[in-house]
Amino acid sequence: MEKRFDIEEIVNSLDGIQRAEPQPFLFTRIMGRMRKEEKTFDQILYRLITRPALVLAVGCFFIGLNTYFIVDRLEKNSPVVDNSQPLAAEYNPQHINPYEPNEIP
Amino acid sequence: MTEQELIKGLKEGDNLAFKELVETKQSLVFNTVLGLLQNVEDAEDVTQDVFIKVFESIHQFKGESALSTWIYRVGVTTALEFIRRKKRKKRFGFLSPIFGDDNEPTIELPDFHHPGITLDKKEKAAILFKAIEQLPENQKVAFILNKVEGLSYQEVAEIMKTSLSAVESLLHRAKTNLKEILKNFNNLT
Repeated sequence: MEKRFDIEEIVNSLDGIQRAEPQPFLFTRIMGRMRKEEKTFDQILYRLITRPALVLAVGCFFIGLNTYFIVDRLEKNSPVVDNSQPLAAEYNPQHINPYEPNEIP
Repeated sequence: MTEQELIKGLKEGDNLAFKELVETKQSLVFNTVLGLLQNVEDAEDVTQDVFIKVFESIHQFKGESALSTWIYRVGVTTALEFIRRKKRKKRFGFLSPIFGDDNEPTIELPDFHHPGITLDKKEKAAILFKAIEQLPENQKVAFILNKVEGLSYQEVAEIMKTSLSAVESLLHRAKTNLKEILKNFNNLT
């Protein structure tokens, strides 16, 4: 019963609470902050682009891009092996007589 | 300056109107934000954020509600965003060396003592604030607006954009939950 009474008392402990006031000169501080925020835009941009995660991501992107172009160039420069000529020579279509009977002699 | 003149001045970017707004609404914003954040320094910062937001987004205020109701709404939203950001930072704190940290130490806060509470109730109120921390977001907001800011159910409903019965239900559930949490506190001690 004693615990129950305490809980009720705790729940009602905010009765008659007074409004809390901020530190004086709030308006001056707000104006100062607004001016500072305008000034520090460049600093924010600098901080953002120098974040390790972003630097790492940009680095990975360029490495990936370079790898792609290098592989692409290597593929273009390699000599193309044409396998069709020997194949055509072996099965020369000029020697094929369509009227020749396909019989075993 | 009437409310209409104040709004007109704010929409024109008048600094005098902004000063008047800050001076007349500062305790309203600070007290609400402090109740939700339970930290004086954070509440000071968030109060400044709220007024900057109000000044910059006054064009979005359509006059469908009272100006104070809208300011309360901005205050509650900003405070909740701050809490979520802080929780996220705490949860993903181990990633801060990779993503670059702001050198803010994450330490557990001591008991919160609201400056508007009389000395004889200070300890009990500190226990209650600790329990309030564990309430779901909407119950917490309704309880703070009603108990700390002293707003009526109707005013709370307007700020939270909900019905009167929903606020009654939220506050009833908040009290039930608080009693349950406090019972557990009692069992632990």
